Amino acid sequence: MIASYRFRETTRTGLVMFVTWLVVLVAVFPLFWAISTSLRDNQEVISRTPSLLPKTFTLSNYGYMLQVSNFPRQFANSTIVAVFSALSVVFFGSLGAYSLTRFKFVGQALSLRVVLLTYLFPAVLLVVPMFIILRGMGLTDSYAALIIVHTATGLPLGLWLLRAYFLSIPIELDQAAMIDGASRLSALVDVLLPQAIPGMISIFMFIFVFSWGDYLWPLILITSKSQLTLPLGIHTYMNEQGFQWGPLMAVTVVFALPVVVLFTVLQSRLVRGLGAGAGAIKF
Amino acid sequence: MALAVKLRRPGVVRFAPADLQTREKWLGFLIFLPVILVFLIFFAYPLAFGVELSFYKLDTLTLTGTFVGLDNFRRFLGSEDLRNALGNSLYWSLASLALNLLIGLGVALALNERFPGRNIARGLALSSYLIPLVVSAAIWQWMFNAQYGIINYLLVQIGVTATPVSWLSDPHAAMPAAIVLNVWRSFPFVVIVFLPRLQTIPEDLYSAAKVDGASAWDRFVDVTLPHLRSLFVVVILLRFIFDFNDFTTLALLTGGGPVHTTETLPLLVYRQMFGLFDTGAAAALAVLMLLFLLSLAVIYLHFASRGERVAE
Repeated sequence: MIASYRFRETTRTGLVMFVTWLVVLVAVFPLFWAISTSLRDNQEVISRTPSLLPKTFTLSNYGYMLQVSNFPRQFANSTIVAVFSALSVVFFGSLGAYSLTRFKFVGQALSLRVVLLTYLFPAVLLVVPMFIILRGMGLTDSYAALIIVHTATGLPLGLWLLRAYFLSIPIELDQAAMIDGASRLSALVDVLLPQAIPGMISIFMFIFVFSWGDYLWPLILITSKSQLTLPLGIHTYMNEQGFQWGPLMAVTVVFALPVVVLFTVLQSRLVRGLGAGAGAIKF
Repeated sequence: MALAVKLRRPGVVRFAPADLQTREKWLGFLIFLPVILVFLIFFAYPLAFGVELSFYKLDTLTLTGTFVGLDNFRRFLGSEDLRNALGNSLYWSLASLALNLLIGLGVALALNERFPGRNIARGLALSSYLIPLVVSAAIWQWMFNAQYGIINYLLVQIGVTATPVSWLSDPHAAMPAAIVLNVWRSFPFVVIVFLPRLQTIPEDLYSAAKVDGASAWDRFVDVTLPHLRSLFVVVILLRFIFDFNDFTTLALLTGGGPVHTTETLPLLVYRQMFGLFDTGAAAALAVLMLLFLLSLAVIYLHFASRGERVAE
């Protein structure tokens, strides 16, 4: 009886494992295929009978990309915009979360709801006025324009996730510090912030990933080639050079790599962060 | 804005002196002020401005125009363009939603089981969510390629189709192909939301149900699903909003073609503005989208708050 139960459990685990890994393999196949394609020479890329792994192994697609495209510059542009957008969301979001969780003022609950409602707004509704406003400020075609827009559109998510995070840090901690004679500022800097840093890191990651991959805003706000970020750069390249799949897959691999590496390193923390945020989005 | 601070006398006696209470309130508000400013200047103001633009006949290139009242709206209501785009938007969002829920929930359940290599499997299964869309779109364009794409190669090998399908240029195949890309990209969102909650369901509930002779399906329906109910409301609404508002996926993969068969509302807005240079019409259309979503949100708030009360 027990033996047959164990046997059933083992076969069940085996089955679950098999199906799960099958799904996982299907899910990662596109990325694998991009890497595999990027390592083939031009002849093999358009072979009628493609093999799973490259028969010809070459890095020429990567070298070609470095030569013909404005790729390194665009990589730098993307990095600058993504880093500063993420930093400013973390800054404003933390200020907001600190105020929302450590103080009480009239309109708090309402402002939280208003912020949440911004999820509803189609980004395309902001496109027209934002373009006009930023042009009026003389900011189009600059990093600043993208950083401002990414901050404004990323802040609702940042505020909600950071609020959930600050709520999970017991308020007694900073109260105790203040009763012991610490000023409010030193209670914040010495007690609260060190606890909040993991949460800030995951918000930084989310906004970085969002800004890093954004295509809509650069499409509208950036016109000169030297200011293009990677997503638009890749698309422009596709339109200009036609579809040379080998080099194209090489760029996509290099572009996706920073995000995939960061995610693998911080995987469990990010999942927990998003989970907490989704749990927090409730009325 | 309704965020203005109204100072009320505390209704109950507090242990802190009244002026300290007041000072605390102002300090809290002061710290929140930067958030409000960013929000007002770069979100609320553009939004109000966008609504205003919808009443003008406005040229995108010169940004000059005249007030035309509701003309922009009147032109769209009942137009073939709007009907087509709304239909495509609903097809796109609802099909993506159904598949996302089905696959996302399935994968979350599987990844919640104990098996060797689970952590690696989790990381890999969720990675597609974080890959920049431009990258995903380029990769899938390559895989969907009619001549050399791996998908056609496999389908012909297995014998599903005798001749290769022109996935992205066939009016019947383009939308399903785009939905495949979208679900591949966004099902991890559903997993990420459900997985932490699944981990908090006490093991005892399952063993108790097992002792009572409940089948695996019964245990899923009677134990698992009730624990996920509140999350379903969130996931369904967020996923619908994200997909309904999504511009980038289809703009990159199909550009709305072939012959507008994948032109959803955001793509129609974009075409009005940068294809036809009619900023007023684009703004009017965006306002219509917002009204549609807003009415959905009201229904959502109603159900969500009712669900909350039932739970208590």
